[in-house]
Amino acid sequence: MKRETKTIEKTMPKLAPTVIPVAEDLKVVGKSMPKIDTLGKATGAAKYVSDLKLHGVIYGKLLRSPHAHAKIVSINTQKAENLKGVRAVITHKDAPRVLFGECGVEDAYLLPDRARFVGDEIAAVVADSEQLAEKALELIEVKYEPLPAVFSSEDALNPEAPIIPPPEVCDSNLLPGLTRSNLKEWGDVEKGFENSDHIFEATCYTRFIQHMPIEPRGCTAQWDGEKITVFVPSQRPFEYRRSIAKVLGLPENKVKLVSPLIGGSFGSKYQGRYAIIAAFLARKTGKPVRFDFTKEEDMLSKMRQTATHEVKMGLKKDGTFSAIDGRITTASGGYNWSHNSEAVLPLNGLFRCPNIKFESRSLYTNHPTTGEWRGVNNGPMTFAVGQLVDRISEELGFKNPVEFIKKNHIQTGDECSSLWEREGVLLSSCGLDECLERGAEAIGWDKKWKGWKTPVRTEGSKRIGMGVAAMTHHSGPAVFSSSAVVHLNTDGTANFLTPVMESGQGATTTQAQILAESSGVPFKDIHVVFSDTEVTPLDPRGQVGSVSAHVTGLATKLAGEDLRQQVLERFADLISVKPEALDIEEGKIYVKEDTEKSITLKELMEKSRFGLTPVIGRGSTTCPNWPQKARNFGVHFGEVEVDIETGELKVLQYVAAHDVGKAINPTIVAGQIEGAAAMGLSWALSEELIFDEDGKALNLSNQDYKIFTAVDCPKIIPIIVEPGDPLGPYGAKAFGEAPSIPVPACIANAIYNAIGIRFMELPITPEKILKALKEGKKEYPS
Amino acid sequence: MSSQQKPKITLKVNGKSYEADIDLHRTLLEVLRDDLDSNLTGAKYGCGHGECGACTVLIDGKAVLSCLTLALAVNGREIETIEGLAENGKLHLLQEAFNSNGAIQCGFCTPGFILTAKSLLDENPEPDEEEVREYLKGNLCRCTGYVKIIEAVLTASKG
Repeated sequence: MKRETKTIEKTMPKLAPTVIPVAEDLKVVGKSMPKIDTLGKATGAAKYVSDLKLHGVIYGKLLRSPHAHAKIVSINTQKAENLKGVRAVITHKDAPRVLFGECGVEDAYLLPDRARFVGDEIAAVVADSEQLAEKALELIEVKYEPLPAVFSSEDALNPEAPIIPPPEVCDSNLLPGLTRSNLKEWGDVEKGFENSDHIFEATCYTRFIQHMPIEPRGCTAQWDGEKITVFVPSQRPFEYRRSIAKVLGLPENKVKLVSPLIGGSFGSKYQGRYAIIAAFLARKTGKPVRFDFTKEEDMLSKMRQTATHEVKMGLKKDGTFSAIDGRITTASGGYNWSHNSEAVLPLNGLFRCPNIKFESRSLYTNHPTTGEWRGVNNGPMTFAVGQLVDRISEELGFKNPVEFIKKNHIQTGDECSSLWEREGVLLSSCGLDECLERGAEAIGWDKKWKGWKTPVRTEGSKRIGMGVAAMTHHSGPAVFSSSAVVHLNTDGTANFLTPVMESGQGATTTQAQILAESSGVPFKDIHVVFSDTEVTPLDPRGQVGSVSAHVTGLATKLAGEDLRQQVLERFADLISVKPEALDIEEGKIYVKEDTEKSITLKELMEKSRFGLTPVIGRGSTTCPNWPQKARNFGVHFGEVEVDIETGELKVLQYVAAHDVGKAINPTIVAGQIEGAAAMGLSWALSEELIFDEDGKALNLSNQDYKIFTAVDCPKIIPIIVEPGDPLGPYGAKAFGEAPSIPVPACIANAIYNAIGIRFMELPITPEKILKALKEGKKEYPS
Repeated sequence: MSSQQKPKITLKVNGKSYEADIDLHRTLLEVLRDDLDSNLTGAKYGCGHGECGACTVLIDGKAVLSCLTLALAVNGREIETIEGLAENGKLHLLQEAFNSNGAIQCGFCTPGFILTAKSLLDENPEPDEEEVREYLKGNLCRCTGYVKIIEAVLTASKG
């Protein structure tokens, strides 16, 4: 594999930081406006994809491989097709030979002729009822030739290993690419280690985990003779549309993809064969086709990779960094739909260090499809970095780990290029100091910290410890872009067309607030039309990677300002003044020097019905990524109680402080912090998808894959830090993934403070704690 | 009964009577969502195994997992779903509290939580935080971390 190596000077700031102060006279932005989607959710009126019922619909089911790796020697669907009520059965023989995929890799066919994991989809049936479709599945006769399989990245690297991707995709299990297997260096790491006074190393392990949204996926597709319409919850509607169009051989404008309200996603609902199969079958049969996944199927659809994180850090006597070298190796499943690139962020985006190297190796294995889980591989690498930094703080004699972070963290104006940005780009703003200060105060750090190797307190068999961890993540991945369109109606109300999807993160409300602020149209008069590829303007990549508040928000702001300018000019024209003499607030345009001279939007648009151009505001933008780039930051503080007799762990207190630039809606922001931190706690302490030696997933249910319940979650304390930012709309950063990222490192550090053991793998369960205590070693696994 | 027969079920849902001919094996969740001549999609399929609580409805004021309830076993009974909670357009205190304090994100778990919380407050009108968490532990939420859900229930309990 040819590796890319680029070397640049990692510079310290040349320019004075220029942070534009956040506007203080905001009317709508910064307020916890009522969310526009929640009333229907409270009354049961809100419709999700499974609630949509098309007349005449037929039901689809997928046949899944029982083998982890097997060639389909023959597949006979005759008996299934002959079953009364079965409308169609398709296999790889019927599927167009067109590759599609996600996150920059197209490695899947509509239906494969070789299964790559236990549960891989190899045939599809549609019938008049779900029961008939299930019966038909049993009648499909498949002859498999089982092939050797690999279940770890180490085995996949072996030159003797079977190659899993199709040869037309890649001739090796090691998938090359910027966000898959890559190598990048800043400065000279070898020299940096030579010049180090202290060198530390650690290896950590994170496992397959699932997103576990409460809503399992599903879709309905219909064909009208010319156009396919698909209702499917998706964070990437335009990308999914592109795949459907590509596989079906249709132009994109003949595919309408509507993402209804989504019942949770966190990275799980992007693409997948099912909606493309549904579209294919809808066109084939002429009937609307519906797929409903069971919980088991939903859990098999996507997961985050198992990964090994190797980190080496070199420091000088004065406690500053001289070199950082990190490598992530992932078992990326049979369909490699996840980036490894975010693992660079804790290595080169969190601390000041002149020499940094990042290597990523992404391996195909015979496991289910892997994809983005909240924070992608940033959280897993932060688990390694956050613990190593904690250890370094202790061994170099820092008073406490907070002091180390304070001394070494990246600053506004520092060079901060990762894999996505041009080298030389500078950090636009950094609120870490305030996160550290306010977070430490909220948990009572100064009062509770007793020193290294000293628990906060001891109560019988219980040891109480405290830990801290910092993080950074994208505020808008650098290559993203978005848009917005708004129409004014004849009664002065607005139709706002936005590509954002609504999965509970409050994007529709957030965008509506930005529009209200920038346009002067009252918030209550804005009707949001969202995620319909036929109607809402283009957003090529979707709401992933923490992006919509920052990038879509900029497009929305542009559209609002465009609309504002048009209505001001129209009134200016009517009363013969200059537009600069006017302002608009809450739907009323007025002369600044003489506020009695005014008109409401309703009156203005009523006048505009005859002979004046319709008022349409539009905005279109890329993610600002030169000469500055925005990142979000956070610091978590956790207090845990470990019972050394039972191994049980309780999280007593949890504080999550996040630099969000500017909170567009503080209640939404607080909710994201609380929810993502809870997800991180559940991941750190409870979650792992377990496979047997034949690659079969063993715990595909809520019972066997436990997510935190109301009794497991502590009361999480969110702290919103708003340093402003020159790049985002009203200073806002996007940050939806951030609060899940530092949690395992924070908890692991708290456990170390409580019982003196560092856990190098996740999840950290009571069984492992007990085992580690019995072994009496400093690290687990030792 | 032969397997071809479709027995008739009668249910009173949110005060309205419904009748339908259904398959023997239908769950209450399936009947409410698909078999009645209604638009009752508030109860959700989250797991089909009674492990997430998204299918919760009330029977005689008590929270019941409709995905695990055989429909014919509750033939003739009175069921309350989320759609029946508001009276004459006026939201129930719980709906009001959930809607106004940020306790709803994706909303898929919300009907189940609200109905389970109603069952709690009918039994115990002034629970403390621990009692609320304990009662709600059978309802899973992945979005909120439960923080604002607990707050909403406590707010509603105070009237």
